Amino acid sequence: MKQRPTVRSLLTVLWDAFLPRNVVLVQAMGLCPILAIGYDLKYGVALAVCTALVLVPANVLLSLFGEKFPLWLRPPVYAVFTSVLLLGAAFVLHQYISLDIYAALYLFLPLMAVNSLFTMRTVSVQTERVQPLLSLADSLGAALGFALVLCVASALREIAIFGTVWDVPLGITTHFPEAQHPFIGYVLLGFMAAALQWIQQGLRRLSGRKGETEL
Amino acid sequence: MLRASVAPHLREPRHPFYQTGGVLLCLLPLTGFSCMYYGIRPLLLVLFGLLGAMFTELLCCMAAHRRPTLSDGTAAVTGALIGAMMSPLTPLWVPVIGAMFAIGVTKMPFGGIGRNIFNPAAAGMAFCAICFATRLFEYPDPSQSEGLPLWDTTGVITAVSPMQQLAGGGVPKLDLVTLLSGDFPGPIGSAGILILVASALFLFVRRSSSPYILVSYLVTCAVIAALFPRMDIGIGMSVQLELCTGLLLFCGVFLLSDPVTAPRFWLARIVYGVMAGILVMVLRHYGRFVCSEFFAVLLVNSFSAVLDRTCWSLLRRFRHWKEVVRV
Repeated sequence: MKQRPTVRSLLTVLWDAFLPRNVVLVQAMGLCPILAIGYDLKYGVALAVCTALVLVPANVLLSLFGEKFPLWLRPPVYAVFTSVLLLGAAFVLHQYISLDIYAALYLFLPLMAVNSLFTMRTVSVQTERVQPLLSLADSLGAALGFALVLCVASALREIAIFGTVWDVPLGITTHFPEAQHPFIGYVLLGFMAAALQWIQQGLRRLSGRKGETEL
Repeated sequence: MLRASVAPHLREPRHPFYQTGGVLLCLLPLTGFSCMYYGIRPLLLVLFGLLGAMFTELLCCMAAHRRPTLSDGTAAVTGALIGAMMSPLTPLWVPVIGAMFAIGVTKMPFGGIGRNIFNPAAAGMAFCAICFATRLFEYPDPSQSEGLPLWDTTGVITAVSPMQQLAGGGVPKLDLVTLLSGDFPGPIGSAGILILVASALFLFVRRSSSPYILVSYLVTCAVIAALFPRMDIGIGMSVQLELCTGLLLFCGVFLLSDPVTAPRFWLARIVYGVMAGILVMVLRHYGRFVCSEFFAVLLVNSFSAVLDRTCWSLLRRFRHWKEVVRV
């Protein structure tokens, strides 16, 4: 009989998926939408919310019922399932949130259904974490990690391009419209990945010292 | 006793400045030649690039708590090369930005001298080409300008370069003497063809660059120019125009032969040169930019290690097979 996961183990899984195994900066998944559309914080937040709304239920449901499908059938089932969820998210965005944001994300939302971010995460649910609670913590951490990177990258690029954050002017007169190019997004993500490694190194060093003092 | 040399020269006992100083020495007459046509501005562009690169390297070293590596001269060469690839009309801050990108993104994050995968000067130039294309590919007419203004170049009359003419379906009317004298609109470094050839020979003699790369690269470009001329101008004229205009020769002499990013094995160097030649000519035929040689350099840079490994392994197998056949 499987043991019920403790709160501590759930938090560890969530933290692990959020930063140390960040889907974008460590596993290099879900790069395309960040590079293409991550130049405006509004678009970034909208895309992050849509991703979370799809990734979390998809992972939890697949951890519950995924084993019922044969191995060869799982990838198409995942794609169809995430497409259905994305359709719902797109509908909510179009009808109730903002038509402008929907128009900007129009091309990228359907493409997200076959993004490696979803396919890899859902496959990992099948192979690594079968328990729904652990799967929930894992997908929540992954979605939060994706949202953090997407929002930071979008905000930085928005500042560079328009001199604003969430359309609020910051009083910056020099603009760099070329930051809209995807390759600038790549460079930014590269530096963010390096920064994450640096932070983790610092945290490890800190925890090591803490351990020494405890001893 | 095993003596480890300073990167990137595994067997080079001399200080890296011996190599980089040679390149800077070659850039001096090249820039001076351009100054003859356009006044002091080309020299300023090269100097701004050089200072921007050195300043960025200093900042990166300070941030990483490392000893400054300015004395090896690689940052100076990178900045000077970026400045020399610009148009004489480019605003002076553009080579600084290009140099900052080259050092701050392409070189130092990978570990500094001897550890970069891509040529920093080519990357800096590619960055400028993508971000400031309109400012980079406008060239003044050398026969009409009596020294360009130092700061504001908005009123200067621009001319169509031979590269732009070829790309637009026109036929440039330039004889061999004009091509060799550099009396046509183009980047700073492309003006002195004879100086570029002399620089290549100088670097070969000092063993700073490999003749395998440059010769295979130029031969490939010439063959493609002869077989697939862009306009109906005859084989000879097509080869002359392709080889002497734009940054084709400049990139071959200074960027492709960079000892850090080029392959080490002789056969790999030949294949590398051929690949670069094919890519340059493909980009000239179908590319978006007037000068796109640095993109080709960046693309072939990524194959360096694979080429070294594959060519060495192939040659070893071939020798083994020959021995088996002989026995």
